[in-house]
This record gives sequence, C-alpha cells and structure tokens, in this order.
Amino acid sequence: MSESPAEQDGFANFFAEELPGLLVFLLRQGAGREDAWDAVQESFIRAYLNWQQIDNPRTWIRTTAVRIYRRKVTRDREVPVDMREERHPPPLFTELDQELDHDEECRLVLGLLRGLPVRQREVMAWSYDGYEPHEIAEFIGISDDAVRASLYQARRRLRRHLGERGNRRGTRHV
Amino acid sequence: MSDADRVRMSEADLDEILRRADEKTKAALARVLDTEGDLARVVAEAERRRSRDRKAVSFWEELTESERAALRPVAVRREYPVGAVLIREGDPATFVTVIESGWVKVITETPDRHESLLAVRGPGDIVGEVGVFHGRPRSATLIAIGPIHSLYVPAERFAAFLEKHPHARRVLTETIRRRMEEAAATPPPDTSAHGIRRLAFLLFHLADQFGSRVADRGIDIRPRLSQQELAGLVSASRQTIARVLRHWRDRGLIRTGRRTITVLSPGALRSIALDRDTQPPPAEQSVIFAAEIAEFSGRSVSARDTLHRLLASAFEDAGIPWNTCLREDRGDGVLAVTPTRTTAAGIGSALLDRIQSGLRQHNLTRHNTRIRLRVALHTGEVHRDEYGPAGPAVEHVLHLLDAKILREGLTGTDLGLIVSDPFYQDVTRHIDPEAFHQVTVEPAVPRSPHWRRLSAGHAATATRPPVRGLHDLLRREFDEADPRRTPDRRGFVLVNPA
Repeated sequence: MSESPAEQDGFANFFAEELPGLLVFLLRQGAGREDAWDAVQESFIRAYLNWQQIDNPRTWIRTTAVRIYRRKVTRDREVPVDMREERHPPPLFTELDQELDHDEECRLVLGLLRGLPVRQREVMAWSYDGYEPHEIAEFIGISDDAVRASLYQARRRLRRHLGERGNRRGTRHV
Repeated sequence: MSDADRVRMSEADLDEILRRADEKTKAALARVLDTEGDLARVVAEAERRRSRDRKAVSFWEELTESERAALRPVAVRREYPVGAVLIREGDPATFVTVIESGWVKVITETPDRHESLLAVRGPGDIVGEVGVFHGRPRSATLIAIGPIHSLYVPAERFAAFLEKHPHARRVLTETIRRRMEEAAATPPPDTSAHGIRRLAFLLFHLADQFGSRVADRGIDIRPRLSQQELAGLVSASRQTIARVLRHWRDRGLIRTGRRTITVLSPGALRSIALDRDTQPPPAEQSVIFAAEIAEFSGRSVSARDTLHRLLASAFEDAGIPWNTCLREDRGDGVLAVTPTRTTAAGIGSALLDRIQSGLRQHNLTRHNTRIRLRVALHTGEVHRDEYGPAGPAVEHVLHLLDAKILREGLTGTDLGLIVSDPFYQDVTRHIDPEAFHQVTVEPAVPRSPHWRRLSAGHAATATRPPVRGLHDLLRREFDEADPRRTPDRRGFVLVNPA
C-alpha cells in the first residue's frame, strides 16, 4: 500500500534538476555550507512527503529551504558556541572547491554575492533564479519598490566590483 | 577615489557573467554530487518519517505476502451495501472479517436504544476477532458506513490459519493489544455525553488510526466524510457539527475543506473527547418564546386557532417568518424557538410591539372572543432532539411563564409579559428599560431526578447557605461545569403592558 515510490509523478526528475540549483541558491543567500546542505536535504524530504499537494515545486522548495535555513540559524544563535554540534562539512564541498579551483570567475561571483548586504543578496538570489520583483516581494514580504531598489543596488555593486577587476586585469597587460 | 564610483560594466555584461558563473557552478556541482545516492537517502528518510507518523499499520498490511496468499483461499469474498450490519452485538462469534475497502462503524446500543460509537474500522483492518479470540458473543455491532468489500473467514478456518502461521498470530495479538491500549487511553464518550465530545472522539480516533501526515503539521483524516455523515456517526444534528467544526477551525484545531478535515491538534481534540476542554464552543443563541392563554372568552372559534394566527402575524412582522421557528403546540399555549443566531437585540422591540398591538386590536374588534395571554421570553442555546426543542433554556422559559407574579400579578391586563435577564440585557438598547420591573422568580419545583433538582438546590443556596456536604460539592462542580444550566432567576415583567 506504499503510496508514492520515488519515481512517481516526476519527483526523481525534479530532485535531479533542482538539487544543484537549490544548493547554490542557498549559498548565494549567504548560508554556510553545512547549513545549506542540511536545509536542502530537509526541504527535499518535505517535498517528497507533500508531493501531491505542491503546485509549483520549484518555488515551493526554495521558499521552504529558506525558511528551514532561517529557523536553523535563529535557533543556533541561541545556543552557546561551544555547545553547538561539531560540524563536518560534507566532502562534496572539498570536491567542489577542487572543481572550481581554476575558475576564478565562478568563485569571485559567488563570493561577491555572499558578500552583499543581507537584503541585497536575498533579492539577488531570487532574481538570479529568474523570479520577477513582484514575486520576490511576495516571498520575502517587502514591497515591490523595495525589491527593485535592492536589486538595483546589488547589481550596481556587482558591476562595479566586476568592472574593477576587469580594469585591473586590463591595466596589468598594458 | 572617484574612479571607484564609476561603474565600468554594462548591465548586459553583468548578466552574461552571472549566467556563465551559474552554468559553470551547477555543472561543477553536478559532477561532485551523488544525485542518485542523495535521492535514495531523502526518500528513505521521508518514508521512515511517514511510517513513524502513521502509528497503526493494519492487520492485512502487517501480514506477509505468503500469509495473505494462505488466507485468501480460505476466505469468502463478501460485499455489503451502506447501512448493512456485518456483525450484531450478542450474536455468537463464528467468523472474522478483513475489510478490503470501505469503512464500518463499531457501535454499541444502550438499553434506552441510543447508539454509542466505539470505533471506526477501515481498509486492511480485521474485525470480529475479539469474540472469536475469546470464544464470547459479539461485544459490539458493526455497520457499513460505505460500500464494503471484505474477506469473510469462518472461525475454525481462521483458527487453522493461525495455527500454521505463528507470525500472523503475533500480528493478531498485537492488533488486539493495541486496540485495547488505545481504547484505554482514549475511551469513547458514553451516550449521555454531549455531541461535541463524541465528535472530538471520532476525529481524534480517525486521525490516530487512519490519518496521514501532510505538510509541516496536520493529519489528514480518512475516510472523507460529509457533515451529514459525521452527524450520523456521532448522533448529532448537522447544524451542531457545522457549528463545532467552525469553532474548532477558528481555534486552529482543525482545517476543513470540502469533505476533508485536517487535524492540526489531535491532543486538543482528545482533551475535548475526555471532557478536559477549557474552551467550549459558544452557544448558538436563539430567542425562546412561550405563550399561554390565560383566559379565553370565545365560544365558536378555537382559542388555539386565534393564538396561532396572532403569533404568526406578529413574528412575521418582526421579521422572523413563523415557519422558520421551531414550534411546539402546548395545548393552550405555544413554544417557539427562533432560528439560531437570532438575538433578542436583533428582534428588538418589534416582536413585543406586534404581539401587544395585535392582541389589543383583536380584543377591541372582537369582543366576543376576548383573549388574554401570558408570554415569556428568553434567549439561549436550545438543543433540538427528535421530540422537539429541549434543554435548560427551554425549561427556563417555561418556568418564567409559570411564575406566580405573572399568573397573579397582572390581572386586568390583556398581556402579561415576563422576560429573562439575558433577554432584557440584550434588548435594553432598543426598548425603554423603565417599562420593565425587576422581579425574582420562585425556584422551580423539582420534577425529575436529574439536573432540575440540582438547579433547585442551587436556587436555595442563593438565599440561605446550605450545610456543606457531598451533595453541595457535586452540585457546585456541576454548576461550574456548565453555567448555562442554572439560568439567572431574575426576570423582568412589563409593568404597564396595556
């Protein structure tokens, strides 16, 4: 009487398609690697349990993951540092570092995104995944205009930093 | 530093860089992620939670495939329509039944022919096993609440099956043990319990036995039942079910949809079922009207006919169609209960005015059929059972109508009117409060051995503290448990009705 094997109704496909994207989405939000990975797993577990009720899985999993991550961070903050569980980052991150070792641009972009002020990186992460300002406004509970303003500032900052880099590199060759 | 403020990159260039970085990061992740392994882990964890959350696995599910294969050929497939009796209390236990699909209610009938819901059983459940197991007559009646497909297994064949399959035997004893534990932890409310408690028990039981956990919290209950079906299961009116479900929804105990109920707080429902709830649903108020003919001088026309016509037009004029009221003919009087959620304030003074003017007009124009009326009004919750309106509020209005002051104090007027304290409080905004005079009504004479006697006792305490004793303690507990049962003895009499 098992009701939904993993393959049913495209859960497995959804998982394969969204797993890397969701992880990057959380990293871009500024989540620590372990926290991001925990939140990713937890949201997929919940997605599986509620698969029949979810209308828009791509959005659902993102809002859920952000919520889980937030709750985790808030809870951890209340625990003294030395009482916290010791973290073992999953080995995949070491491998990821190796993969991206030679790709300065990738690391730089992610680093810049994670270095944005909270609101800006939040808005950027959603925007990066193709969501429109009015949708983002709804997800994070601020006004359309506030989203647009944050987005503008985030992109301006990114352009400036990335442009500088281009400039420095350019001058080096002159 | 002015250079640093200059943005050298175009929006399009930024988009291009972001897109490229995204592609490459995801590609790199895809290389290092163990997608299949992660999927397996996620699914395994989800399934583990699901099975943990679904406490009771049915008898049939617990059997191994080979045991099921062994049981099927010794069983007879049986189908039952809705309402069919699968097992009748007191019959010899000669078979067990495994429900393949559909739902049955397990009930017991009290000597006064009220039925009490003990449990609901559904797909995969075994029923009738207790009697067979103990060799005793059936201890309850099972009735199909939906079409049933089942496997009927004669007792001796079932015994032979168990003989050969020790694992199945363990599953069965485990099933029986679990059911006994559950019944002990949350015993079904007895027949005298309020419908609210029986409904709470039913929902808790269904969530506990057949619920599947959804979303972050909440248990979707099966079977899907309409309010009418719920009403039938717990022997309450559909209106009560609707009202109580609404109240629980507002309290956040359940979520409701069309034929779906999600239990958000099984613990709270259990407390209600066990009568440990602290927030009973608000009473659905009605206005209760009682009239009695004090004197009728007519000969040719029936007094009752006159009374009914008079009241019908008065109610109609006050905006409450007479036929929407629950009415009870009381010989030379009438008891009427307005539809729920009519308040005294809502009626305002209109009803009183109409009755008064109608009566005056009648008596002015038809001297030969002069009529004098006593009227009592109260507002409160009215229970409706198969015999009509009932409950303390109805008792109270009849008690007011019977008040000595109304019988004797208002001679010489056509209309003697008394209203209860709650009614008075509700309508004072609409009528002249000075027109009424406060009176104290003598306590009701005990007529039946149950709450009325307690109520009378309560009235006595109002004037003279009684000797403390067991009776007193019980009574106090009783009164505190349901303050509605001891309506205020104050009444208000219309001083100058003419």
